[in-house]
Amino acid sequence: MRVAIVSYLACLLVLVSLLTSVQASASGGGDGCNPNGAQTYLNYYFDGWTQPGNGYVMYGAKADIWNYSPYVSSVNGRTDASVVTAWSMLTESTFSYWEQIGWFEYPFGTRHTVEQGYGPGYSSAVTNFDPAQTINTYTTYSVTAAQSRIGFIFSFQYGSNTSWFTDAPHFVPTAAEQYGETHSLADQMPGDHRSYYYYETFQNAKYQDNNHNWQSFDGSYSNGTYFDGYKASSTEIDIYDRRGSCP
Amino acid sequence: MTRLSVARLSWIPAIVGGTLLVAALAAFVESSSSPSAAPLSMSQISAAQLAHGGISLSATRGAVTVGSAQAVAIAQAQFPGFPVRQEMLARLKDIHTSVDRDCWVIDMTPPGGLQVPGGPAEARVRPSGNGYLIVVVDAQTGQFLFGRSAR
Repeated sequence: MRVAIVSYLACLLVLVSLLTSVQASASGGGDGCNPNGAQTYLNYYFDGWTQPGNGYVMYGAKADIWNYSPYVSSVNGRTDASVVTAWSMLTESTFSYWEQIGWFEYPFGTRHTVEQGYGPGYSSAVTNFDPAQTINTYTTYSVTAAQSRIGFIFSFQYGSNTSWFTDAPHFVPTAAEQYGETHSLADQMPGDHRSYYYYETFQNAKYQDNNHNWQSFDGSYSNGTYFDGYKASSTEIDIYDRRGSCP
Repeated sequence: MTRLSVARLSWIPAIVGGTLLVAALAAFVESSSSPSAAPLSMSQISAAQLAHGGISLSATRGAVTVGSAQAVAIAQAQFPGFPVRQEMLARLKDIHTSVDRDCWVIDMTPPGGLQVPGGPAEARVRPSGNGYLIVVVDAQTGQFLFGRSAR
């Protein structure tokens, strides 16, 4: 009788652990909670801050970004729809061209460090996928610009890696942005509503001014309908999804 | 030996030298315009599309240690569930990373193209998405080098 009870409990334990692992993979393998939102793919939703600059050249944008693993919805089982991301970016006054770096997560837990560039003469954005950083750690994601004879050369660094270089002639960076981004209301904006400890944090956030000095990012932020943020200091913003079924 | 014979013999070094020179020139022209020097395409991604992503492919330069199945498995570990349309062994040069080595290049483009959003929060145009996805694996070490998407 005792053996039967122990066997039963062992089976129950295995079953519970299996169910738990299935639930974890459905939420992206990390921190995420299902916001139970409508499937609205493909739309664009942002939560973060913008440093519009003062019209002068801006030579860099960087932040220590928490490698959060959110809930990412899938449309008809596609492995590449939708995607949730958090990033740091250099752009310009019309927001037509950009160079950005951060983490991407597709459905089913496919994560990478991603650099993307788009400039004059590009027929599409060019996107590079590097190995993912460990979730629930901070990584410094940085994009910097160097002026050369042909224009600006942008370089990207994450952690201790210098990962990618590209040329984008005639694109003069004058603004910077740092955002979380989703593409469906069924996706979770990085960070959840439980407490400060579960927010998606951009800390040590800086931009590099026209004298090549790093300055506090101190961007402009406004609250959204579904997402919220907390400007903790001139170098830190914390964002989160207001919805969700997190405990 | 007659005077004529000596004169004929004196032409031999010149003829041999000229022949060698012509052969060397022919070899140079051949190597310069060899089909293997031209950028290679993949079956569903043109050389021009690859070039837009900063990549050019050519013939490999030596033996490799990583096999096709191993390279595909490494690529699939990076992009689980994505289709494998083609795997190709090639010399890969990339202007963005300075990679210049023999690689396995695996086309893992999903049906309809890879969805890759991007751009500023205020952007009015979003020229991302619906591009190809290639995954690059070092053919000597088996290291995942990077994935790349463009149109």
